[in-house]
Amino acid sequence: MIKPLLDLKGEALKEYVALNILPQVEKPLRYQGEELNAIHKDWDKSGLHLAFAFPDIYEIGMSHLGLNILYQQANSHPDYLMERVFAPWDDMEELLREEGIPLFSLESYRPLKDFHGIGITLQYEMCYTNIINMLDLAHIPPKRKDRTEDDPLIFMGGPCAYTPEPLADFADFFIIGEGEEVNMEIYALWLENLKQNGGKLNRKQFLEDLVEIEGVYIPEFYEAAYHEDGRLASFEPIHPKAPKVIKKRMLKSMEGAFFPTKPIVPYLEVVHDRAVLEVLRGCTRGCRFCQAGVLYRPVREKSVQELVEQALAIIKNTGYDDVSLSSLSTSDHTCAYQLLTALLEELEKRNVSVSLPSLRVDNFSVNLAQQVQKLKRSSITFAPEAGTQRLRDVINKGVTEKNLVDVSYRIFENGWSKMKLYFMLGLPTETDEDLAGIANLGYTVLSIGDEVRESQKNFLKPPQINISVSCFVPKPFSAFQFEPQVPMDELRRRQKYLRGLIKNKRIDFNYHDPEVSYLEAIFAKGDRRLGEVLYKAWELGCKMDGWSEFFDFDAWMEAFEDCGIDPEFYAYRKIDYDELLPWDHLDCGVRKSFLIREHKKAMEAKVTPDCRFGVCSGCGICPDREVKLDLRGGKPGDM
Amino acid sequence: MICRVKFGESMAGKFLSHLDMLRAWQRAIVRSGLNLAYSQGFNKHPKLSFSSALAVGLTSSGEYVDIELNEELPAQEIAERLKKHLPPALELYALKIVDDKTPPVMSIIQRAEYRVSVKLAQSVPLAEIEKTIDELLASPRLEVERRKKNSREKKLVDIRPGIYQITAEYQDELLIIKLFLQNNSDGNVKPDETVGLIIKNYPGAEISQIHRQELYTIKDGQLLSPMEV
Ligand code: SF4
Repeated sequence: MIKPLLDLKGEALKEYVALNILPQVEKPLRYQGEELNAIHKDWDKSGLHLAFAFPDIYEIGMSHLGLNILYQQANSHPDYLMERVFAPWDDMEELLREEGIPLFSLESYRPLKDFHGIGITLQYEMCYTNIINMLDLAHIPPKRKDRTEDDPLIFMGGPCAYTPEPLADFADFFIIGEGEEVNMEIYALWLENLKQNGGKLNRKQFLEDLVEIEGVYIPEFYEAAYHEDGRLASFEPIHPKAPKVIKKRMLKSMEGAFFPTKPIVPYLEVVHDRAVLEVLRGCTRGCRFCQAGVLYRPVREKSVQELVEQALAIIKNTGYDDVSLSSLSTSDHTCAYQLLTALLEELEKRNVSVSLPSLRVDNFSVNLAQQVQKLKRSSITFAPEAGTQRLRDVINKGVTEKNLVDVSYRIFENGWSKMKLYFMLGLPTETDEDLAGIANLGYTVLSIGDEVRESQKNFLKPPQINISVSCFVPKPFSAFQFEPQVPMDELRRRQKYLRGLIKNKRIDFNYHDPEVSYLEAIFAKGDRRLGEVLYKAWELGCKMDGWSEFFDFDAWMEAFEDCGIDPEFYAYRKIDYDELLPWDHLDCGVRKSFLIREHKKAMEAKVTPDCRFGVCSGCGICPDREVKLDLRGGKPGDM
Repeated sequence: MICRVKFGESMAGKFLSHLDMLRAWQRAIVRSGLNLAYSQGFNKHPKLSFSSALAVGLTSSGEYVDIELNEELPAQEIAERLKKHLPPALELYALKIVDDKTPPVMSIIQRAEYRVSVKLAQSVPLAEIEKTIDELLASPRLEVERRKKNSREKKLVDIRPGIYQITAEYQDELLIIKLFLQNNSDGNVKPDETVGLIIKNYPGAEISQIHRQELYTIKDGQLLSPMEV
């Protein structure tokens, strides 16, 4: 039986929850708040009340840099209050439902319904059901059409907002692109509207003003029509002010961009329990499977001086003992070596270490890794992505076997004993020969390790190789958006085939069932009709789909069946270049003609060099948006 | 230089595990700009030594930590800097500089004092509760069930020798049970299991909060605060 709604908020709710609920859950600190640097603002003195909702658990959400950027930035303004909320784990969810407690924010323990708006970050497709579940837990109707003027506005941003259609039924508006500038413009407009209407939003007016802000996409202002075979026939504005194409927002330069030097320090150990410093944004290496490399163009680097200042400020304000240099490809910073030297000089005397999350397969990157891992040489990770030169040319991953051989010698000679290698399975044009190439690379690297060990005779442990293989998901806004995903049965056969080729105990082989990747492919390329499926799946109990203990593939298939929608249409169809796509009304700055050109070159296994080395590859963003590559040290370092 | 600090864990800190607390301390020291000493070698770790670990869910006003610093500063300055930088879950009560050869606080703790709040389903006269306590203390053996280390199996443990004093009083509706229990390298007696033996006689009674009031060392038969040695 469900008890009536428990009508407590603020301190009273907090006390009730601390005494009656938290002792019963596995990790109470997920719901407690009161962390260092969390911002507790005066509710009545702030005109605009926003909640930042992260549709996954605390430990994941608190590891996300974007949360700290947007949270600290909004709260830096005297009129805006922003509080946090995360998806509760199911033990907590059960108790909240049992006791009739609506989902509340961590700072003031107020029900989400009390806020003017709830901003949801979309980091990956497999958290969509959590969004519905969180709104339901907050006693807010998940579907826009069921909400009233008393409900908060639901807005969404983040990388998956570039492919928003499956969530079009749920959101009032989407923010496309980088949030730093556009969010503050939106809040100002929002506050103005509230002020003019005595504290109550005039939604109609607000949306009409909002649509003029570049980067805002309001789904109810558009209508989709479909061909009989299911493809999109038209996608048109039905509001006179709505633009036909919504352009992404971005910062022209990272210089002086808002960066949180006082991030929240969780008590609980979270996934990335360290200071995070964003060193550059964007990547123009041009890997053809990579969506982020397209969405975040062009490359904009921060200066060494600003980075060192920010690192020191973060350490001073948090007390972290590790700083992670984050970006799509950190060793690509044109001043990477200088940066590292300057940082280490300052940080080592404070017993703070530096970590590099992503490394290119080249000597330069190994040099950097050597610098930061002076003592702990545990394991090092590289991502060749494909097993043969042919396939690496198809995907435009500029890594050669020679690179990998050279790097392996350096790695083992310098005291590492464990190497992790990431690959993708199911890439376009892949054959069994490419799979054999993965196994061969594993053996090559292992034998290099053995050779070095033999010659040096000072190794602690025999070398170990870890091969991790994920299933390729063709993503919108990548050159491979036109490609179908390889069907699950075939992916399983390829996994088995590769498994059979790796027989050495010192080569570890990891792979995942392709079911999750299949759903990712469907929702990445999804249109508005998938909103029904999402809702149905949630009704059937789907949530926390990124967690294997919850993921229920059969329920998902049942949801598609119930809605009469064929999932294979989305994932397994080859898309024509001239087809209208459910994300064509969003403009990420890179032209579709560039993606088509890159796709054609891929099919001919022709590479396109990184535009940072001088030759513009014509993706269009620089001339169209009047921006340029913002590199601090001229050309990138030794390649 | 070694500082001994007495601190507390407030309501905001009651769900911190021992490891969470250690991290919180380490970060507070770094923030306060004090030059914390680290062990040398392969895996550097900060030179912090805590009194006995506090179980998750308990609040406390009697926790101790020895902090080793690579600098000499007056106690008051260190205390002020730490106070300013501790997170809301932790509160500093006192700090003193101890001799480098002082045995670590962990090694000297002998007893713990707890205050356990109990909600009763219906009120019971204090005299009756005191009688229950007396009878309990009069038993030569008091067995509780505990899980064996790293296994599912249970074993029976006699906790009677580790119980030194139990008293009870009412504060409004709440029954407050005060206990002095063994807390040292020979083993700890847990407040919840001890109080469990008392309240099992009163159906519906449950523990609502456990607070660690103080930790003691023993010198010449006297209970002493670790700050006094
Ligand atoms: S327009 Fe040219 S230089 Fe600019 S990001 Fe695209 S390819 Fe690079």
